Amino acid sequence: MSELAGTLDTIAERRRVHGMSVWRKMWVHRMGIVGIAIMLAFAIGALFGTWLAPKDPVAIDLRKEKVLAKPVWIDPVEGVGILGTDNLGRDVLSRMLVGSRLSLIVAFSAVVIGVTSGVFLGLLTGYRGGIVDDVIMRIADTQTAIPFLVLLIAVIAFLRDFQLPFVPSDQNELAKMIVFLGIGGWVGFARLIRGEVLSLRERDYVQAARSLGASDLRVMLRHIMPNAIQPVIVAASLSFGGVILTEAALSFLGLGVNTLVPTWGKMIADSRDYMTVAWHLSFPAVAIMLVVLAANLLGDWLRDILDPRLRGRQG
Amino acid sequence: MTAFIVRRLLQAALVVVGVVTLVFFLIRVSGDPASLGVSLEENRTQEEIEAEYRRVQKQLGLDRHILIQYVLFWGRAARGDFGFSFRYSIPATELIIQRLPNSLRLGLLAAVFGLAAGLPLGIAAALKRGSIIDNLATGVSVFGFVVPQFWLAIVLIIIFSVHLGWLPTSGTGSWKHIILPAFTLSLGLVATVARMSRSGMLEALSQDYVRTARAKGLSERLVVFRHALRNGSISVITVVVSSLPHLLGTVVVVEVVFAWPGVGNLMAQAVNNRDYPVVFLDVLLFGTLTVLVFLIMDLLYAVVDPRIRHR
Repeated sequence: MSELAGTLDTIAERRRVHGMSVWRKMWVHRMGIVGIAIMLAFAIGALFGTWLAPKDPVAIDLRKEKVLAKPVWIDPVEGVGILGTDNLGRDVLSRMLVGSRLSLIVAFSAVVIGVTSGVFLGLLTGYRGGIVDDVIMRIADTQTAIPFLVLLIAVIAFLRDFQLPFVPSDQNELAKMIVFLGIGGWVGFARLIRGEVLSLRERDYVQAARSLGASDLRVMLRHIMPNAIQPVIVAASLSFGGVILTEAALSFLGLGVNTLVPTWGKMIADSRDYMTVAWHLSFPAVAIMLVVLAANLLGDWLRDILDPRLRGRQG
Repeated sequence: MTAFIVRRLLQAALVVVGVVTLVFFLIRVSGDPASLGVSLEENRTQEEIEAEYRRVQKQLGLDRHILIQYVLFWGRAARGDFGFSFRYSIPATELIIQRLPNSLRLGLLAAVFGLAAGLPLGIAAALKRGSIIDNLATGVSVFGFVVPQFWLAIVLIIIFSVHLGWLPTSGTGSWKHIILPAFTLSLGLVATVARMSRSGMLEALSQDYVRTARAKGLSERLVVFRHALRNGSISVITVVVSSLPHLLGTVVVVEVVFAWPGVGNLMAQAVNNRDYPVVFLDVLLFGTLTVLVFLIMDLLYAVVDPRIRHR
C-alpha cells in the first residue's frame, strides 16, 4: 500500500537487519519510532485534551483584537493563545486539542469496525467456500467498483434520516459516520484474510485439529485466525490515515458530523473563507498530515518487523 | 481466450448489476418519496391528504411490491430513463452528459501530469539511491499521501490566485482555469507513480537477468531501459490502475473547491439538494467507469501473459 522513507526497500536489506545490535536496529527502525512517538503524542492530546486545553474551546470573543488574532510568535496580543484565534475569536489550540479526541475516535472506531467485520467475513468465506464465498465476494466486488468517497457521499445522503438502532438520537450522526467509514474498509481486510485462510485451511495442523473433533468455530478462531492476522494488523495501521483524510473530505463537502467542537477536517472546512487573511487556521491540516504520516510510518514499520517471511510486501 | 473474455465480461456485468441494485435499495430505505409529493395545506382534511398520498404513491409505482418496483426500474433503466432531476427538471441523463466532458478533460490532464512527473521522478530516484533526487521523490510521495486535497487546493488558490494573481480562483473559461484543479488532482497520482516506479525499478534492478545483462557487457542505458524498466513497469501499471477508484473519489472534492462544472461537483450539489436521480446516476457512472477500466486492464494482461488466459 505504501512505502515511505526509511523502510527497507529490498529483500536483501530486510535480511541484513537480523543479527544487528539493539542500537543499530533502533536506527534502522527510526522511522517506526518516529511514527510511534507522534501517535503517542496525539493519543495523549486526545485523552487529556479537555484538561490540557488552555482556554475554553467554544468561548466566543468578538472584540476586534481577539478575532483572527495571529499566533503569539508573529504578533503577541494580550490574552490570546499560542496558535491565535479563529473568526469568532475562539482559541485555535484549545479547539484542536479538544477536537482531536473526536477526530481520532472516529478514525479509530471506524478502523476497528472495518477490521472486525472484514476479518469475520474473510474467515467465513475462506473457510466455508461455496455459495457463501461467491455471494460475499461478489458484494465485495460491487463495493470496490464504486470509488470509496463517492459511495460514502451517496450512502450518507440517502441515509440522512436513518436512525441507527441502539444509539441515542443525539449521537446518531456521529455513530453513522463511524459505521459508514468502517463498513467501507471491510473489503480490503476480508480479501487479505480470505487469501491467508485459503492456504492455511489445507495445512496439516488444521486437518489435525479438525480430526480431533474441534468445531468449525474453534478451528477458525484458535487455529486459523492467529496465523492469518498479521497482514491485517499492518493494513489496519495503514488504513487509519486514509480514514482520517476521508472524514476530512466529507466534512469539507458538508457531510461531516455537527458537534460543538468539530473534527479537524470540519475545522478546516469551516475556516475556509478566512484562510486568505489567517494562515494559522491551517494548523488542523498540519495535525491531520502528522497523524496520517505517523499511521503510515507505523504501518510500514509493523510490516518490517512482523513479516519475517517477507510476505505481501507490496501491501 | 474467448472463454476467458466471455467470463470476464459476465463478471463485469454482474458487478454493474450489483451497483444498480445497491443504489436502488439505498434509495428505497432513504425515506418515502411519495410523502414529498403531497402538499400539506392547512384547510385539508385527513382523508384528502391520505387520498392524495395514495394517488402519488400509485403514480410513482410505490404501491407495488418492492421486487416488482425493482423489475420496473430495470425496464426504465434499459430504455435509458433514469428519471428527471428534481432540481433542474430535465432528465438526469442529460445533465450528466452535459457535465461529463469537463470531468474527462480534467481527469485526463491530471493523468498526464501525474505520469509525466511521477515516472521520471521514481526512476531517477531508484537509479540514484540516497541522492537529492531520491529524497525529493520520497518527499513528494509522502506529501501527496498525507495532504488533505481540499486544503492543498485552498492553499494553492491563496498563493497563485490571491497573492500572485497568476491564475483564476475557480470556474472555467480559459486554459488557465484548468491548471490548478488538474495539478491538485494529479498530486495523488504523482505520489503513487513515483513510489511504485521507484520500488518497481529497485526490485527489477536486483534481479538475476539484470546482472546477466550487465555481465554480457550491455551499456547501462540498455540495461536500465530495455531490461529493468520493461519488467518493472507491469507492477507500476497494476498499482496505478488499482488506485483509480481512489483518484476518481478525489475528483468530487477537487471539482467542488474549484467550482469546476463536472460530474463530481454535480454530485456534491445533488446530494445537498436531495436530487436523488442525479446522485444515483453519478454513482452508476463512477462505478461503470471503474469496472470498465479494470476490465480493459485484465484483458490486456491476458493478451500479454498467456498464463492468465488459461487459468
